[in-house]
Amino acid sequence: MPSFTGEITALESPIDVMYLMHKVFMKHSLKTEKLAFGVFQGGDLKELKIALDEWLKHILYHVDTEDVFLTDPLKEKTLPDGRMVVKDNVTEHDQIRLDGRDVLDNFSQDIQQESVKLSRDLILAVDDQKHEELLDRVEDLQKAIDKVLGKDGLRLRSRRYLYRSVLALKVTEFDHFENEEASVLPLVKEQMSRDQQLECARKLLFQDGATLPGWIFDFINNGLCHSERILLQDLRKEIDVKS
Amino acid sequence: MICALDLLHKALSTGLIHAVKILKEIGTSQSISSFELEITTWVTAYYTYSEIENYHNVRASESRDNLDMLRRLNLERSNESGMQIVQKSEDLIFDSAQFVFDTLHEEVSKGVLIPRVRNHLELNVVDLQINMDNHHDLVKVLSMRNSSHDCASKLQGMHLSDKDWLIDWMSKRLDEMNILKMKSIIDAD
Repeated sequence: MPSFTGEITALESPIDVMYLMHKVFMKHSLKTEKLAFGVFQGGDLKELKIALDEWLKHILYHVDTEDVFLTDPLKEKTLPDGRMVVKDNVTEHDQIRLDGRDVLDNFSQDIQQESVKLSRDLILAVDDQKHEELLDRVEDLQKAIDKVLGKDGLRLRSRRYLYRSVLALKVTEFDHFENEEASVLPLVKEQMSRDQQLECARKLLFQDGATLPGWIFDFINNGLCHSERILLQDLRKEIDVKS
Repeated sequence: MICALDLLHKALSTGLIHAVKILKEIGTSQSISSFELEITTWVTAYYTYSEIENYHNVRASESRDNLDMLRRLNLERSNESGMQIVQKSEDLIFDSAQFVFDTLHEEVSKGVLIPRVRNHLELNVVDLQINMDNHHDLVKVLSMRNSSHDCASKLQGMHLSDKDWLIDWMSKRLDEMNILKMKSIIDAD
């Protein structure tokens, strides 16, 4: 059985393509996290933006497709500790979407919004009477914050929230991949025929109706080592025969 | 005037970046105990920060307008509203530090750190850093009228053994330029 990390040497079932996909996604997430840390330390946003866009495009397509073609057809299974495999998987997909949105929100946050956020936090922290008073003079409060922290201080704040949100998405994603490999993939193998798994793998690797349907396949292929590429290409041949 | 609080904040911030570095190297060149020690000493250093933050002051030249603004809002470090805000912010720091220790003690068994727990600990430490950085911003915003004190003399006035420990801790976490600044504060003693 392929492991969560390390070289993948065999695909026992078509759905094992997920190990290859997860591995490449994780590699890209780690790269993006490093770029976000660089931004947090004062680095450039451009490279991070490109990596983030690619990460979100892939992970969102992946969870959306899984919801329809992988999780939805499965019958629920309750684990001995009470966890529900299908329901939990769907919840994790939702969490990934939420965290992804949070990353985007933080990316587009400008320093003015940062100052508004800090004034709001200050106002929320005081008692009711002072709360009302400050609400009436929120502009003065923002001016004071702008002057004390300056553009650089506010920019730093926004960058640390951006870094935090990228890290949070990575943690959610990695936990999800691990849970999916441990609980969902065995269920898929129990409940889906080889042909159904091939169709599911096809949906995950190729986007029907897209200008370049193979954009996912190409990304995964490029992220693998030589022997893993052979596994992916063999699976593609099988998918092509069935399609 | 060199701000001792800014220097201490820089050291605290670098301390947490260093803690994440240790975390990533556990199992190769670092151990879980080194990580725990880094966080424990961080909390000790934070107590000093907390002690001298009451004495923080901004330079008069850059604070005149803000001073008026904060005076109009009646919002400052030393009054009730200011204290409420700072207390809440400090609670967040202690909660997030506690969270790091809880994760360590509940999830790490027999000295083995699995990747999943490592990731969660990293996020816990980053949360601690964000709460600390946000707190420092707040202290700066609310200290505009604190004109009769300064944090450097508070640092100079610390008990000698505590001061030696802190200087040593800070020296390992500051760059050369900031170490020189710190020395200039201490040497003025």
